[in-house]
Amino acid sequence: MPHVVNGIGTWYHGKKNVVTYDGVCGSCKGHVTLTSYDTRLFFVVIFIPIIPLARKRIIEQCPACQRHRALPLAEWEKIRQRVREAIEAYRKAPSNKQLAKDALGACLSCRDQPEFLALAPEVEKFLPREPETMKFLAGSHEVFGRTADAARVLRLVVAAEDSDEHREMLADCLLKLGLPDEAEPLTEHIFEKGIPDRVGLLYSLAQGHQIKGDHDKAMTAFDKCEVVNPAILKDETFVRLREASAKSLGTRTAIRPNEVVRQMKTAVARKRFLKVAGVCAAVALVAYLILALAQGMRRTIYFANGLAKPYTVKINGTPHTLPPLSATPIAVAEGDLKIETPGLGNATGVTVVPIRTSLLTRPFNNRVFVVNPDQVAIIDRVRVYYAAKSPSPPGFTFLPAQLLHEIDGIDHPFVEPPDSITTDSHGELHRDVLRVVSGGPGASPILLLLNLEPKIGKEAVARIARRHLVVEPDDTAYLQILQSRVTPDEFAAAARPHLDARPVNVEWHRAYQHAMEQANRADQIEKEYAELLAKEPTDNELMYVAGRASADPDLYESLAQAAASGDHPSVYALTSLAAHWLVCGRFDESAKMSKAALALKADFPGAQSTLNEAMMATGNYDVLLDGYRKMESEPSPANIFALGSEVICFASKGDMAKARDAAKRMRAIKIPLPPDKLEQFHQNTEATLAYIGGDRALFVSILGKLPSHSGKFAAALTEGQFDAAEKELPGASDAGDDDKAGTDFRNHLLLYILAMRQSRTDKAAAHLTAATAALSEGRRENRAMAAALSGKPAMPFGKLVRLYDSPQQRAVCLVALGLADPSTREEGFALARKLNYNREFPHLFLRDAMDAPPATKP
Amino acid sequence: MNASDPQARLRLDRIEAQARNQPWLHNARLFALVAIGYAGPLALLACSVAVVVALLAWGMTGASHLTFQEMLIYGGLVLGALILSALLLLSFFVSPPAPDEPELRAGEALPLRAMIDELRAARPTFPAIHHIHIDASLNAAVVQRTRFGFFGRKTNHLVVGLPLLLTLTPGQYQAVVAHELFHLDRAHGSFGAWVYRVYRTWATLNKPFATAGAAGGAMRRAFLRWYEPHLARSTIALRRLQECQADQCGAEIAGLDAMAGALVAMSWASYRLNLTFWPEVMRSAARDPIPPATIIERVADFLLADPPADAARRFRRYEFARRTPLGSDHPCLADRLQSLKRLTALGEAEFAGHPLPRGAADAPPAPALALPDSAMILLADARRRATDLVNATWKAAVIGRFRHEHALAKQHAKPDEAALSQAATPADAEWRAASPEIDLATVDQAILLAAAFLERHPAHPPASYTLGSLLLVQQDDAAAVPHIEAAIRGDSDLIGPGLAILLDYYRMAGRDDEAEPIRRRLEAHGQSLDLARKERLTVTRRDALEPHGLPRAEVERVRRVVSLYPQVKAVYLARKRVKLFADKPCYVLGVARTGGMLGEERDKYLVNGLQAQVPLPCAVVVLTLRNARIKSRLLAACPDPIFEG
Repeated sequence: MPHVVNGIGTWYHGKKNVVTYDGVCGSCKGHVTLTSYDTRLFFVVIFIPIIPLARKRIIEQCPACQRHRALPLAEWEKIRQRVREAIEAYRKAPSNKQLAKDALGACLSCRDQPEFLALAPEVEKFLPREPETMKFLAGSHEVFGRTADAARVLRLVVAAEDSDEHREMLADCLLKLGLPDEAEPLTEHIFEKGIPDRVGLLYSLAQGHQIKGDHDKAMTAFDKCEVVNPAILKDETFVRLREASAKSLGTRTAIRPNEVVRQMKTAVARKRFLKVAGVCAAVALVAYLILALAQGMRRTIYFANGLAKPYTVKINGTPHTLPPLSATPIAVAEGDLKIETPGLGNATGVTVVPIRTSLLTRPFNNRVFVVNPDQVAIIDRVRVYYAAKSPSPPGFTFLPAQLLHEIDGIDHPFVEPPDSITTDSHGELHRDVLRVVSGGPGASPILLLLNLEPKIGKEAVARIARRHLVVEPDDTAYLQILQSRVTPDEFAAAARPHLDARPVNVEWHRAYQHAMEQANRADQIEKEYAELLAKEPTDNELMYVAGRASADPDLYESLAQAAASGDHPSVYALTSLAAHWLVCGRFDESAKMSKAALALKADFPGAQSTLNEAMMATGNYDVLLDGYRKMESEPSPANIFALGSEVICFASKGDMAKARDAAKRMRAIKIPLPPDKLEQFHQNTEATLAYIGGDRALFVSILGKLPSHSGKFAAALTEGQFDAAEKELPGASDAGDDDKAGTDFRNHLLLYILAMRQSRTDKAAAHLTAATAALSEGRRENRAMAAALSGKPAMPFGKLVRLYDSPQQRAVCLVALGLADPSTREEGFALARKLNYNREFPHLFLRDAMDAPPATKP
Repeated sequence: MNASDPQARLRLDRIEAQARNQPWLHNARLFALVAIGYAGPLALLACSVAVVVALLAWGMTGASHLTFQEMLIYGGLVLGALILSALLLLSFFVSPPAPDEPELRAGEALPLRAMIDELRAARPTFPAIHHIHIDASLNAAVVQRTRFGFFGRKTNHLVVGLPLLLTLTPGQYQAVVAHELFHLDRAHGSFGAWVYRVYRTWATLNKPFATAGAAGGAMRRAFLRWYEPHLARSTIALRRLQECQADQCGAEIAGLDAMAGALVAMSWASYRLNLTFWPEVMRSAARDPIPPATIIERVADFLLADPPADAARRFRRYEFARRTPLGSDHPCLADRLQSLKRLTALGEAEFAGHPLPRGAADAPPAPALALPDSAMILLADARRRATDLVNATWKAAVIGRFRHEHALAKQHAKPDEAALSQAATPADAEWRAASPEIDLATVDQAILLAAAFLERHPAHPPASYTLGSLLLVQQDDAAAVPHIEAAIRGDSDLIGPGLAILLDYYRMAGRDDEAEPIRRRLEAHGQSLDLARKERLTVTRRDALEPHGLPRAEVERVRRVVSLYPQVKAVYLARKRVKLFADKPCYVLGVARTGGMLGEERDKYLVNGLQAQVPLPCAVVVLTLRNARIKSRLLAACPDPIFEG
């Protein structure tokens, strides 16, 4: 067959000697009009004939499937020549059966219809009584689609020899011509003799009657079929056709068997389709359930570790190590997960986390389960946007720490999203990502938590701090965070379970005591600790915290000293005694205690600072300066602090040149502050230098230009400008956020002192009242001081001055108390002078106040 | 069969012993075999379902980000995997087909149904029979179908052979029905159903690979080649054992005499029918291509007729000597009687108490289908309809064979000129003339005619073969074998058929030792046939060629065929001297054609066409330059072409 690809290849062009007839295509078996013709095979380009290749005879081309036979025309001509020779041979002996058969066969073999049409009448005329030849002729007519001629010839055959075979052939031909009534008598022998392998003819007869609408006859024929060959009842088509005729009995409605068969085939195909579709659905369902069960058996759960250290968890008894500040995917079966934290000393106990999803919707449920055994991890849900141009910035949603998160719509759980994606959409797309908030390498988790407080809320921070204290009870930084974010009662309740822990965690006890004091339950803690100490009288730490719980300085001193002595002195007691002796003005003892504490624990918080204060109080500036010089080489902010302290030490020592040199060196350090803030910082240093050097005018001048309220307040006080100082008071009190109450009463007391000096009794009374009010809200020591300032001392003055406070603050209080209660003036001022060792503001202000003669009582 | 018959018998005996003595081990072995059969299809199914699961799993997580085209591909993959899984799964749901035989209507054969109910009442575990079918076999059978192959409602079919009803008394038939119900009760067919399902599953799975010729397909075919016969051999022992158990049950319910009597009567009727009746019926095809319309009535008449005088004695001798054929799942009569401990039933003089011999010998001929003591009465009013149905069904089943036999006989009766001209000897010509008469005669007459012919022409192979095969049908192997061997010696065309009928005969009689040498000879003959086919289809330059020596008419027929090929320029014909089966001529047709070298592509069509159409056993060779040596040899043997275009 010719073939082209994109119009290039071989193709036939031209048609000559066209012969057409109805027949059956040998390839597709369709009843079609077959065509034979002469043509030429060409090489074609875009179907345009370019090169002639060969002349061909196309034989029986099917219009439906285009299949055909092709002979070289020369061979075809040769065959035709042989056909003509065969015909001529027959014509010479027209009664010769063999020659007739050869001639007809030759015509048939090359499908030479014209020659056949010329020959057939001759054969029919000369050999009408020869059944075999006539049968061959009839068959040839059939090949050329001439059924009517075939029937006519077959009638001759039957007339010549009336056999069953010939009758059947004629009947078949008549049925093809749509003449069932004529065919019927020719099929009677099949029923009479019961010839089962000829039942097909009866079957065709029945269908012929159906087409004519003669259903009585059709039913009769169908019944005969059943009698002749009962197995035909197994033929579904037969049953359908018979049913169709049975339904139409008494009518002339024509039934087209093809249509019935088509409907039956359609029904069978539909049934088969439904069967396969049903099984497909069943397989899909089973596969879905297998998938759902498999997912349920191996659900990926992300176990988040919010701590800065790795730890081991046991999930249903199987240990897994969770790396710090990250989430680890672990496949576990759904259900109740039994989680233990041996890596955290089983601090969380055995936690049961229910992980359940519906079996039927599980494969569609792309929920992400995040279990956080420590319950301190903050999960960040990041929405990343993708667009061809300028995508939106990512959006962050922080999910506060909790044991179990069930999060929907996550595309990339705890993995980084791709840098780019491919999509058909032209709009902006997004992907949701989960991360554990870590702040990057080296970041402080505490600072990170405090920074996130605006996003996750105070309660969440408190909850996280509380959980941190559960899993890391020694990390006391979270104590302060928690304490400042819950009520004292709540904190006390949270802390109480930790008090029974042994060895005694002093920080927890102190925080608890502080909370109880804030809750005005100081008496209770005194009693509680007395009972505790009674149970364990030899525990140094317990002795110390019991002392701290006591309102009686004598008891405190005795217990603290006992705790600080012995083979295993309490470093807390030593440090506490150092601070105690400092505020009592016993600087040498303070230094001794501090040194003992540092000897026990070099980096114990507070010990070094207390020692520094004692050194400064005793004028050992050189010792201090040695230490600060060593710190200069340390990274910021330690070096800045060291240089700032050097400025103060050199100035206090009177070496102003070195003090300025230190200030200059400090300027050389790059401090990460905005320029205006940086300049303000250095100006403050200059002001301090001026104040210690006694240059009040310069101090006032520098601070007056700065935008700081506290600076202006200090300048106004130094200048004796009461109104100006009072005006700056709110801003000055707000400046120190971390101890607003302390700053508040201190500033009020400073204004009280100035007002007393200027005899502005009404103002003095107002600020004293304000100061006592502020003090009354504070710690037990402050409340005792407030009572004394308001003229109702709760304890003797000798005990009052031994209560804990900072030396500077105590100095201010004692000066104010001396002015308010002249009976304490002499003793109080004496101690205040000792405690006013720091040359920074308000050293000169207090000195002037103490040096001034007593004024009238407001 | 690779193993020899004695070896196979030995192996079968071993398996039977195991089935009897270690039933659990035997059952485990069979289940393992079935499991092996299912392993492949199950692995395929598991793989395809795993693919579906994997695709679904991936789709649930990753498909949401696919592009439209990727979604289409994904959907196609899922659908394809689902359809594959569904088709694989469907291939497991196979149920044995319901019997094709015509079925009795609900209200018909009430006595038979009552008998079944009676048996079920006697043995409450016997299941119900839902359908009763009828056929023309001397047999009764049950088929159990399960709705979905593995599970579902069970439907029980009882197939009743009318000849068996004619043969047995109602009491004996009750024993037979009890035997069949026992098979159902004990689910004896269920294992067979498993085996059937394995076969069908493999056949379904093998279908797509049948034409592919892929390695996988070859492996499957190799597996099935080993598995099918292995499984069949392994299950025979169990099936035989089950038959004996069912016999025992039939004896318990209907009585030992009834069961043993039924077995003897069936065998006796089978012996008689196979010896005389069915051969006569088939020989009637020579006279009429349409099978008789009243075969059941004829069977009845035959069974009522007197058997030959020594038939009973020959029957007993035959059954006593017989062993169960290797491939039969029913033990031979002696074994079955032995298992019932009633071997004497076969040896009792003249079958006393047995209805058919008694009727045959003494009773007056009764009208067909109205034997007062035959089990046909169980069909009651349905006898006529059942008989008509079975007659018509049998007729439809055998008419093809009848037409074939008739056509052969017709050809014998009217040999064409060419065939007559091929008759090499006067004896051949006489045999051709006598053949139609022998074909149309009864068996006894045919034996006499063939024997008479052989007396005149003692070494005539076709006559020897005909007489030998007729004697073999009469179970007279002692007389038959020399004739068949003589035929084999005289005509190589008769080697295959002669050995085949001898092998069938010995195997049916369970005579393994005599069957074995025949089997070996048949195997060697098959190999020789392959070699001969190659020798005759190829032509080499070393082949010895000689003038064809064919009569003019024969050459003319060849000329007529080759003249239809326009590309043929000249044709040369010679006879080739062959080594194998040299008594059969072989010819070489040398064809000179147009087209030169360019026509070589089409040569194979020309060669195939001529080989198919030329009415001679010949090799066709196209005489091109490459075959110059062959051409010269051909021209030496046949200088003048028989055709020139």
